[in-house]
Amino acid sequence: MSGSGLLLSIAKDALSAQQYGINVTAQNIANVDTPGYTKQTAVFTAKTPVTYGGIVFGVGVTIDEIIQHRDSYLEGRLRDQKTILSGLEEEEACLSFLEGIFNENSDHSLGAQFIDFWNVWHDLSNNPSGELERTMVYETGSLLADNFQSLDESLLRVERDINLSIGAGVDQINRLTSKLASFNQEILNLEATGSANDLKDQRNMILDELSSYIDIKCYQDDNGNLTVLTNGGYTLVDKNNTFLLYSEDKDVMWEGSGDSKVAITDSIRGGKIGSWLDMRDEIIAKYRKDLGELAKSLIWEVNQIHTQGTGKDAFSEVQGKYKIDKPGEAINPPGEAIYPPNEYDMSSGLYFQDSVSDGNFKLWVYDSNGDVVNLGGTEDELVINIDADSTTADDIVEYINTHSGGTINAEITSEGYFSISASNDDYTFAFSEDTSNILAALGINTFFSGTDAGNIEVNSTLFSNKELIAAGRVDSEGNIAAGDNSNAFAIANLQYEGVSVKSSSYERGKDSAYIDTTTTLENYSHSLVGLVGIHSKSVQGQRESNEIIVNQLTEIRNSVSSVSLDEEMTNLIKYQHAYAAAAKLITTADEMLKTLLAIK
Amino acid sequence: MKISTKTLYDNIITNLNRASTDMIKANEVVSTGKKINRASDDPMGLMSVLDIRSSMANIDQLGRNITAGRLWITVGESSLNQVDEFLYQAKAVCIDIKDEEKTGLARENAADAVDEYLKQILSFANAKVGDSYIFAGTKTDTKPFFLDESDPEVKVKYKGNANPFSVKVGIDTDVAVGRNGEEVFGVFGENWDYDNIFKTLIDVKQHIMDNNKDEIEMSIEKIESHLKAVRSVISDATVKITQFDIKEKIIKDLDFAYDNKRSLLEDADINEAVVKLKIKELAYQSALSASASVMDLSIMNYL
Repeated sequence: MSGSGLLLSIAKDALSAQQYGINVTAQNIANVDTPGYTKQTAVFTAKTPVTYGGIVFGVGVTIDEIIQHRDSYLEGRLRDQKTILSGLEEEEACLSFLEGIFNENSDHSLGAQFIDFWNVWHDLSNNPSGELERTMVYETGSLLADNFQSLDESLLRVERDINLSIGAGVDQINRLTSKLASFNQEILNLEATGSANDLKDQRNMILDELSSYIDIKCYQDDNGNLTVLTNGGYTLVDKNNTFLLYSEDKDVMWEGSGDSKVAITDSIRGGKIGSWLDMRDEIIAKYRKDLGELAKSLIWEVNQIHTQGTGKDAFSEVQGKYKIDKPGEAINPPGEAIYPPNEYDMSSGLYFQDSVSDGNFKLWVYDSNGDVVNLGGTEDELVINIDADSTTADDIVEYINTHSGGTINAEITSEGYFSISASNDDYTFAFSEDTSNILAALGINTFFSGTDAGNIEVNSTLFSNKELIAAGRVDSEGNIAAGDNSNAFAIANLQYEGVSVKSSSYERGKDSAYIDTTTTLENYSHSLVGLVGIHSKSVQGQRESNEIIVNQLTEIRNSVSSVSLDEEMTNLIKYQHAYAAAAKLITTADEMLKTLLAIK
Repeated sequence: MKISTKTLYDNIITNLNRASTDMIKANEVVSTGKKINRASDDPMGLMSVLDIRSSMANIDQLGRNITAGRLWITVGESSLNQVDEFLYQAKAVCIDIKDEEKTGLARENAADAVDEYLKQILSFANAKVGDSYIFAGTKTDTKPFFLDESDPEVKVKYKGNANPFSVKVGIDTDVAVGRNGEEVFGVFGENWDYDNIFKTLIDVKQHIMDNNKDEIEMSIEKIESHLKAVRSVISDATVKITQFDIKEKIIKDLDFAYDNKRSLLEDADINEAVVKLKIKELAYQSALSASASVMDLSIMNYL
């Protein structure tokens, strides 16, 4: 083969090859802004030459394949970084929401209400018999309690929202893994006959999206099948099979073949789901617990002082606020108590039972003139002794009933609350000098009721009679003075005192740990707010630096895989000129043939 | 490195975002006047600010406590000044009677005058601040001194108690601003032989009527000792007022110092913040104009 026939054949191949080149360029230009698109290039190869008459002739050009400019290693690293970034972004959003919840730049913040709470006790001490001052103490106490409750409620709501997000995220993961499986199938089919470049791009996009939800490991086999595993090694996609996830209670479950189910919650470390789990089980859990511990300490410390005092009025009846599960068991037996107690536990089941110690308290009874009634002993008052590891609630009831000369009756109500009432309208009673903390533990003559941030309230007994707010104390003769402010002083002094508050730390997959801190209640609340800020700031910093890494990797990836219009336009012109030149070859061949045909 | 078209535009968007975020932040500082607008802006600073705020609120409250206490002291002091005045008058009447021989009518007048002083002193002894009696100890809702001349035994009873009403003016400092009535007016008891102002005056009345000069002489001494007691309480009140003045001044200074510290931590230096905003604005503008000119560049313009 030689002469113009070969020339025509080369020209024809060249025309179609350049046309191919223009088409690939056009595809690149068209997809300049398509997310996930990888630049393609037509690979031109010179055809195998032929030998003719001892001379080797080139026979033109062919397009072997269209390749994608892809760096799989780089893409893997980029995907990992993006997994981290999407997790950090969720964390940042959640923490900035928490900052809003704990916003201290307002009059309704916890800090501001702590200030108000102490100040109203000062005001009450300045005018212990004032009705307005008593109402203010009650109202401010209620506001503080409400604030604790609404903070707790807000944290709970964030937790619920996170659970919803996790549920939705798991659904999304299932949708994406199903898609990956079907792409695996399509790519396998297409690769049998040609290249599935654009499908692979799309599959990569799905993989990117999947990895924003959860940290994954993936690899591709020789047939182009993509296998996806969770970080913990559970298969999500294998060829065209999908293994689904579902959320159950607080766990993310993996459904294997057959009936096998595994909770993979703790092995999920990255992506949105990972950071939602971190937020829920570490951050929110800590703040809720710490807020609860703060409320618990506030309740106990205020109550402990409040029970030492007396209101302007003595009680005609009073009911405890803490439930006694087992009135027949010792109040605070040795060893650590379980709350709530199980059926084998030998303790009273009072929430604050651990704080009860050996000691006693005094009970005074007054007649209708407000004079102290002698209950038959050498002293006017009744002294009730508490031996923490043997005295039972029933013992206290019995002691009061047998020694009060019929003036007052004690009982444990059917709901399990300690209760004392005067036997008739003439009598009233008051308490003093409780060295055993039993009154505070029973919830008698307390300011607050409840046990943590979710249920803290001002004792409902005070709602109906604010005269019962204990500003003063019963003196050694049993007298109650309207201008006595010694107990109000003691409660106001609580703001300066270091008290013991637990601080918790949570780590997923491990038991929560506690450390005892001694701090003023206000200081503890300040550090709680500060901690939210520190967390938020550090996550912001991490997110920022991670964003820089992602941007840099993206830039490198793009320089390999993404389209440059300048480059494509240059290529276009190149191909266009080559095309024109190839056309010229045909004209030349034509003229050559014409010349030949013209020979006669 | 090859710069792809996407990289070019992505970079423009990233840089513009960064510049505008910086500008918004700078703007927030200027418009709120605060450096710390959320906890994460400066968590440690915020914690200090919160501590300072509660310390400030506390010393402000102590200031209010002092104001409340000052009212008690001043009302008490002016009542005691009146008591002092009337006691002095009573003493003058006694001296007058003792030194000169008087007619029955003159003695009767003198006795009436003493009686009047007694009633006045009684009313000042029952002085109140708001609804609270000052000289009743902590039984502030009970009228402390009660006169019943028909009672053959005890004519004046003290119904208060021995613990003076106090206010809290410092972390560990309570100052008594009310009074135990017995501290001022003498001793009262179940029977009528204790020495107190009212007994002395009631007795003096009788002695004047009886023209018993020896007893009057004795009574003058008693009145003098009462005067001494009243005056020592008055001077104690003066000392306390001075204490309050000093405390208030300290509180003002502390308040100022705390507020300075708070302001340093929390408030933005407006000049600096405005300059910073201007710089960020300029940076944003430059980024915009640079981006626009980069976006204009393309090989298309030259083909």
